[in-house]
Amino acid sequence: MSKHSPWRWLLALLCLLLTFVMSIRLGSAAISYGQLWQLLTGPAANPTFDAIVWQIRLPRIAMAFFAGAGLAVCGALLQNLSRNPLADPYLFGLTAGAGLGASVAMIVFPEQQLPLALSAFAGASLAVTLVVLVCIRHGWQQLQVMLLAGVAVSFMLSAISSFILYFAEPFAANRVIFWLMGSLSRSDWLGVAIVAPAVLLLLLLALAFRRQLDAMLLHDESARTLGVSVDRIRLLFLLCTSAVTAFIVAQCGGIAFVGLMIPHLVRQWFGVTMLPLLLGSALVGGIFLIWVDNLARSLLMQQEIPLGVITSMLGSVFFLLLLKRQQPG
Amino acid sequence: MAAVLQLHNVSLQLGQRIVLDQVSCRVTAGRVLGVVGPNGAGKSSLLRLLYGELAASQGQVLFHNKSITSYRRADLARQMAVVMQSPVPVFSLTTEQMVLLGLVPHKRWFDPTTSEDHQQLQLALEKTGLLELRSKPLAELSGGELQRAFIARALVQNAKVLLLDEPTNHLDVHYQHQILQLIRQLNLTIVCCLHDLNLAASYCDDILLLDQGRVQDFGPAEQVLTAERLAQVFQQPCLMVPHAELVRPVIHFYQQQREARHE
Repeated sequence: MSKHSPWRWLLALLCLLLTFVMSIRLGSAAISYGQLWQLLTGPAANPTFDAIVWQIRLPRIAMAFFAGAGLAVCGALLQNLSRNPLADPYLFGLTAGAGLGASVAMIVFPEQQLPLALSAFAGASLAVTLVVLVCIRHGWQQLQVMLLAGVAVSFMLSAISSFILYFAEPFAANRVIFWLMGSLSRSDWLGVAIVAPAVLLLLLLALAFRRQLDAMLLHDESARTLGVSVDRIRLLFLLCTSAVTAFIVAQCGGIAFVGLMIPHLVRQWFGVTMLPLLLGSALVGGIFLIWVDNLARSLLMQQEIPLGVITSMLGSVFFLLLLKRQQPG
Repeated sequence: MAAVLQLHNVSLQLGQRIVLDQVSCRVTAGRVLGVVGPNGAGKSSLLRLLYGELAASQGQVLFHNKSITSYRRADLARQMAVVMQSPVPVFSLTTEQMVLLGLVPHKRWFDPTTSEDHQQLQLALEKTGLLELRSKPLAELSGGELQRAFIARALVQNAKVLLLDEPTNHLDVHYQHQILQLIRQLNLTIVCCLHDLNLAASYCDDILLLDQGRVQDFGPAEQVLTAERLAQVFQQPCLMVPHAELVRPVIHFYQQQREARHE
């Protein structure tokens, strides 16, 4: 089966459909296929089930899909832009920034949810602003600068939030730490209405620039001779991927490894150029995070496992396997 | 003949170093200009001035009688293609995907790749002899094949002017001639940096001889490439040996006499 075969895409779409149906049924209240069909198409026969599906499970699945798709698309873009297969949305200090924002919010408004999301978003934006400022000062031409600035900002902001948490009451510290590990349990339609358009817009923008982005896979000077404004495009997409990641982190906390791992797989399955890479990353990333969330809510009775724990676990196993496969012999 | 590219007293200073000093020359339509000279003569920098990657510190670089800096990047790319020493990308594209990048300056937003584009691709791959390698990753191509792939990309780019930086570097003798024969057949306006003077003598119409950023000579190849001149620029005794079967004499540098060295 060739990489460009439409069968692969059909298969991926079929997986998404199956994932969707199976995930809605998953949970402590058992819903049959007949009831599910009725719930999704017509007026509710059972108001309890109606509330469970429409107010709890569906927004959660939608959020999982868009967050996974968004993180994978951001990862794919950043990897191609930096020509570094290890680039990741979290490399630019976004999680550390969001963590700092969350820590501040937990202490100032200990009981409220909304300031937490806003403050996390502000923190993530602060991190990106710092990285961009460093990059502008030291020149965009060097990709190393971009990566090093991200790492430096990341450590600085996590140091500050550790400092704050050290003096905070233990309960608040616990909440921040749990929040940073990622969870979709707070998902509602409002959150989906923020994240989904952001992800779709980024995808559309990247597809519009797909040829330029492909040209940047070679080196910058070569891309410029093809008429590509390399520095401008890199800045544009650094800002956009950061904004989308910040939205996702503010809603779901830190979910590591999705942006790093999914594009790797998608390159093998669908190809390295932007069109298949972006669409594939969105599909596979979305499906992946829905299943991660399914695991998170069903592995332990009565308790949810943070998403970041599962993605990090899967991620590390994935990379160990990758290493083993790349070894000669 | 109309001048396509012109340099008027161009100087280029990078940091403290004067890379090019008062360089003037012109490239006429349909001719092949070879840029030659010792290491550090400023050959690549001159090429980078011509495609607008570097800006002249003094003087003017004109493309169709307009300053090169007044062109928008994409407009320039539709008229001028560049083949440079490029590293193989980290995420390996296939030959075909790389060649199709020549479409970048011609496409806007969501423009799809049309069947005409694919015909052009086919033609470019045929001309460069890459048809069988079209779906191979770039990382698996040999140096010569990679160089030909970049030339195929320039063909798809459909530009009237082609600039090449040492296209024969790292290639064996067979491929050196193959590449240069190929670009000669294209009937484009060409500027090509070359290390090998015999290749320059056989494939270029005009020669710009540079040394330490200054023009030593500029004109038709047979006038510029003389034994005295080359010996002086390359600081190595030089012979021009006429050959019965070749139009142009063979350039040969030889070892200095021992007495001469002890002076």
